Amino acid sequence: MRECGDVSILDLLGRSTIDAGESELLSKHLRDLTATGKRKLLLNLVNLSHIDSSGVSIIVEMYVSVKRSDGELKLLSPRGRVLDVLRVFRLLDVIPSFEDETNALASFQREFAPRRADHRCSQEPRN
Amino acid sequence: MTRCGGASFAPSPVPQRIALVVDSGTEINELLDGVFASENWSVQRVHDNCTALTTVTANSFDLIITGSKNRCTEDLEVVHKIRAARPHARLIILADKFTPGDVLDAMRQGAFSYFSGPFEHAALVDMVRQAIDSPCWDDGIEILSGTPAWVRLAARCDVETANRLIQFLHGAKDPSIPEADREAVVSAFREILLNAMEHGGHFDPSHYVEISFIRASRAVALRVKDPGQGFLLEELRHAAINSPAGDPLSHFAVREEQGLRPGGFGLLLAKKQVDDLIYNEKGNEVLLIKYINPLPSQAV
Repeated sequence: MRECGDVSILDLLGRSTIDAGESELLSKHLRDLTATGKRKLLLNLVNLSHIDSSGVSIIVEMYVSVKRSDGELKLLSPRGRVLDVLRVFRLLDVIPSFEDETNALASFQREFAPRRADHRCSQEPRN
Repeated sequence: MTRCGGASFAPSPVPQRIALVVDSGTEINELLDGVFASENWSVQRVHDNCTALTTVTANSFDLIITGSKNRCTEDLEVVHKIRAARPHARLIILADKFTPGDVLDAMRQGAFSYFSGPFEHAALVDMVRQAIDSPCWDDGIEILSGTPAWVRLAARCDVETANRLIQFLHGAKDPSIPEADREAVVSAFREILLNAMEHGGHFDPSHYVEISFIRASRAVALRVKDPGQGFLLEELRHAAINSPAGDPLSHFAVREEQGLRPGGFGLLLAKKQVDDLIYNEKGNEVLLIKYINPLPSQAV
């Protein structure tokens, strides 16, 4: 996970599927983040190779949860099979998705304009 | 003489578990070494499958992974002999390329899993970890009848067995089926299988789902029958498959009202991956059909 100002960026790798248990792991990470008050989440999907219905459920659950807390969850660079699956559910009509990280980060600042934006990004990924 | 009273006991040392791994080239070897090292397993490596057979005859191993590179003649016969010598050892088969009938043979011989090249590293690592962690795996998959074109089997209702079965299907890289179509079929099967095991079998290991794979000349069909009471598809308001086109998340609110965990995407995802998804009257049996366009090299 990385942080850029008050935006938390999760770089997802590999697969988000129920059979590999990765969806459970993603769910826990996202819950931990929201429990600590994070409300601007960017899921970087560029290196996510597979997603099944359990992974989609986690993303939608967190999107709904964060939105209810006046926050935002957005997607970055879905590719290949992952993009196909998101299109099946028309999720890209609902959840904002960006191809470029800079544009994605800027969109958070526009929507939260009344608050002073902090554009400093952490240099090292955090575990 | 050893006295029990008042003595302090050191915990019994856990015997180190050992895997026999046949050489599959530097990349796969290093990948597997990393997994075993992280789990504190020791590894004995041999050059080819024939050497593996002589080694397992003399020594016991907890997990055996065959090699994809250094083939000896009649590899599957060697696998059969390994299984005969060590019937309860977990055996993961790595084949350099898919051969029709191999997956069926691997399941018949009780292999833990089967991969054909090119290998997806993440899937291989996940399966090795599952083989390391699974407390019980025998009898999870029972072949009821089988030819390369039509396999009927029973699968125990648990996630580990589902995972193994999905990998067996994934390992069947039939070159006459376009890769995108193969991926779509595996994806649809994954959703329907887990749905059947969860809702029909309640992930109860004493229950089984019955599955048929059929390969016709221009289509693939899969049938999954679960032991549950069934349902009416049109009454599933809590599933995305019944959400209106303009409101793809409306079923989520229904799930919240009904106290259901987030989800409901599986049936729609499965339906979109195949050409036909058909339930029987009771709703506990489903048929998936994917029509296969011949590859350009096969077109007349």
